[in-house]
Amino acid sequence: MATPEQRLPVDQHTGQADLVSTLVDIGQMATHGASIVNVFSVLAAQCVQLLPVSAAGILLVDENSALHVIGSSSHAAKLLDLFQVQNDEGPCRDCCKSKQMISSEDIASDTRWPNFSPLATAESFVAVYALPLEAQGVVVGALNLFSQTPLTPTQVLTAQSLADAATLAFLQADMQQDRLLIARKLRTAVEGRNAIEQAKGVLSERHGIAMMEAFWKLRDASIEHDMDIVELAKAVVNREVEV
Amino acid sequence: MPTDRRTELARALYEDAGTRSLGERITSLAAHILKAEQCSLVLSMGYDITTITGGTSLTSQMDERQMVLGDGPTVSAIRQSTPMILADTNGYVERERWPLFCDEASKAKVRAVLSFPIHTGAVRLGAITAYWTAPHSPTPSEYFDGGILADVALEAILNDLAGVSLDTALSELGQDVQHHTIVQQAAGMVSEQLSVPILEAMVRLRSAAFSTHRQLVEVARAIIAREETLEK
Repeated sequence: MATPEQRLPVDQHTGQADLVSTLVDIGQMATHGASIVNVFSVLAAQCVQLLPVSAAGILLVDENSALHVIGSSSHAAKLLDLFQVQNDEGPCRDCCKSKQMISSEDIASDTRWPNFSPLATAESFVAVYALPLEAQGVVVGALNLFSQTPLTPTQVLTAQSLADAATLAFLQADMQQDRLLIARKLRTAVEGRNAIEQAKGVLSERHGIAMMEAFWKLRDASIEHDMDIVELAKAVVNREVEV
Repeated sequence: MPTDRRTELARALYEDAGTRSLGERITSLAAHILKAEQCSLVLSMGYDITTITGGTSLTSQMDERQMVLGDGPTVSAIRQSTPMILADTNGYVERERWPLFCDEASKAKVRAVLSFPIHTGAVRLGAITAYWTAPHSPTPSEYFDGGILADVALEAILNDLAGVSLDTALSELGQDVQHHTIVQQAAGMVSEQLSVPILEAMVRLRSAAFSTHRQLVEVARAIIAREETLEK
């Protein structure tokens, strides 16, 4: 976790106002009871907006040490594969194990991840960062950033601040709670994600739209119906609500 | 995918596949890992919850009473898609939560229940329930194991419904396909294309993969890329 002193200086490339408003958004979403899947999806999208990164993804680690994609800035199948492959090897897996940031500023010549690196290089990604989603010594997952140029240390700190905000939102009042409760929350988040993916498939087919558009359609409908996005996703899949 | 517990439990589930039904294997494995006296498997299709398989006369009776009363940890686990812990049928909190069931259970000398939903996203397939005749609070590792077993059981049931052969199922042991984004998206697409429930779409995807000797993920990817559609 970034200490408060580390968090303060935001460089001129990253609008400080934008960062602050994103942090406020994340905090507000959490206190208004927004689905955590939604909070993490916004976090991934904001990383791409605020930082010179090409793609961002959030992976949560379950009790079986498997990584689950919870939010991503793009829903292209190739990018999702890049997150999924990290169940076997890659910076996110190493980050969750070591509870430290794992990065590579030249993926192509990095020999640590023989399966992951070629996939990332094929997508023209040059640098990769995996930042721990950590609070009070518990790592619940990692924020994964891909970029075409290395990030500055300040930009990395900005990303870590966003990750910290999202983790706090996730754990909210449960800071002192035990492993069992955190595991329950993780499991619920992962199941929520599955419902959203199923609903995206339904909507993508129904309206002939891409998966990312299907996600935004679902999100807009959840605001319109004033329904939690996961509950709405289940209702869409079971044909209880028309979207 | 991480080998570890998921693979271990999946392997154990297929060990004596030739001699016992899937339901029997799921319940006996559940009893073993949860150190429970008796376990049951309830499958629900649509909104009707029906006991299909596994267990003993006591568990059948307990499951059936829960369905009739509409009250109890199994019913709650399925409806809320969350594992339910009933540590003591004489406990105050438990009696507040499941009053009708606690009465019936005490009469049958059941003192503790733990129920894990078998589900994925919008699909609610049923639950695995463990029963004890003494009060029991699950340890975190029992709780984790139960959740993993429910995942492994879901995949085994889907494979069973899809007619996937034992060899193929064994060769794909431990693959966490339920949490593969693409597989879930493809199930949603197929469900809309064929106008079938999402559960049936999942079964259809697995049948298609098996009959063409491909991995499930490969078929899912082709469907999302609109290179392939399943026949009605």
